[in-house]
Amino acid sequence: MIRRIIPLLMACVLLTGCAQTDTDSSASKTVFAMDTIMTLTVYDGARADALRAAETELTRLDALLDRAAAGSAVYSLNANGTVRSEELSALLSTAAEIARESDGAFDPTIAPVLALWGFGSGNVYRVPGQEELAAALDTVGMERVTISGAEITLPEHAQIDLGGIAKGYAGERVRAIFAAHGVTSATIDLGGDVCLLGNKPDGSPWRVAIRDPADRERYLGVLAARDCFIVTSGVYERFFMDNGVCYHHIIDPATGCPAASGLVSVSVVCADGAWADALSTAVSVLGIQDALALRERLRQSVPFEFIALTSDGRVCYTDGVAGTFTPDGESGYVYEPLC
Amino acid sequence: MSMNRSVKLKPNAADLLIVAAVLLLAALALFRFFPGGARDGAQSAVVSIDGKIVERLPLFQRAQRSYTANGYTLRVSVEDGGVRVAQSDCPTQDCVHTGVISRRGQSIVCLPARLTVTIEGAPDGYDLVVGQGVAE
Ligand SMILES: [Zn+2]
Repeated sequence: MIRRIIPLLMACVLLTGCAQTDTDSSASKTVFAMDTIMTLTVYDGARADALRAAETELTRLDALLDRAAAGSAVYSLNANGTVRSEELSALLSTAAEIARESDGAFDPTIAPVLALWGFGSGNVYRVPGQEELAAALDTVGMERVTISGAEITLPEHAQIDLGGIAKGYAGERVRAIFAAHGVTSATIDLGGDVCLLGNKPDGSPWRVAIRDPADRERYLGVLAARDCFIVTSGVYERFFMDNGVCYHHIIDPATGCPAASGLVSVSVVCADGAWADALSTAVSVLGIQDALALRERLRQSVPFEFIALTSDGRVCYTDGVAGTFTPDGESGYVYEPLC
Repeated sequence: MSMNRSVKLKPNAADLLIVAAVLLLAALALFRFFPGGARDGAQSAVVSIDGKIVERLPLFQRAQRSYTANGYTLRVSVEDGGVRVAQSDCPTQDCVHTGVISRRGQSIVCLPARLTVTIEGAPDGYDLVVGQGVAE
């Protein structure tokens, strides 16, 4: 009798075991960092270790880059005008390069102007006067920040805010940690922006829906993508009304005023996280034509694509995503491939 | 030890019971790990606090829940295949203003309470959603 029970019990254990490894293949973690909620999901490799290491790294980056946290490298830089940090120096060098390539459309030294409008942290929204705006604009200019090895020095009165690049950089770091843990399939949701690692576990590309900023229940379309960052910037994220005029948070460093590029929302697709993040701001400031010129300039070094919603209801997308972006027929927008 | 002596050709009642038990266990295992197969389109609202899942609420049945997290209390309501934060004493009220979510990948976030409600389950044509940018 016992001899017959044992193989049956073994069969039972095997059945349960198989079912578990077959489908219980993803592990995910939610992390609060950089003023948002990040969701990390890994499908293979050393999943638990990868997630733990990623969370530690995000906490570390928050402590390094949060300008509001006393003791962070960025806080020290703003408070003392100088700081030594190899990592911050490398990130600021990238920021300076993007500022240069985009003719200043992306510029982390815009911080004092943002603060005037109330788009800094904890400030009250208001329309600044001409004189104070001119004075704040005088401090703006990434090219005047001195980076020498690990030593960073700001010109007088200048302030840095890495909000437009830090999340993308964090995604870059998490992706590297995942890769080091043997992960080949993962998604990193950085609070509305994503990094895709590899393909889905079934080998097909990830299907990423781009939300319609005008209606949370609707979508501009679905993009099939792999191994890239998709970062969205939108004027709708922060804005205020004053005397019937809408003032939004994407400030054009050339004028110190909300960008009048005619773009409501821009999603940039790029292999590099820091660039994707910064380029989403740059494209929002530049508008379609200048953004296409920027894309042409970067074609060899940092190729990127974008999908933009214009204020007159058109969804424009670059030719590189023409084959992978599926417009949503119910959105009510006019779709316009760019070439 | 020799097997020959204990071989019996006719299974007895105990053998049948064991076979039945194994089949039942196998069925349970399948149901547990492939719940989608049992109910097509089944979705659930996953409630997390401080990044830890505290509850999964199936969207096909009405439910009312209260969660207290980091000093704030939120009332979550499941009805008509969707979920919303019906009430919250958090200062921003972003969670309440988000309204009803009903599609896979959508989420409601309450930053002050560090509480999230995310829809998981049946595929709906996409794996992820971008562009919902949570305001600071
Ligand atoms: Zn809330």
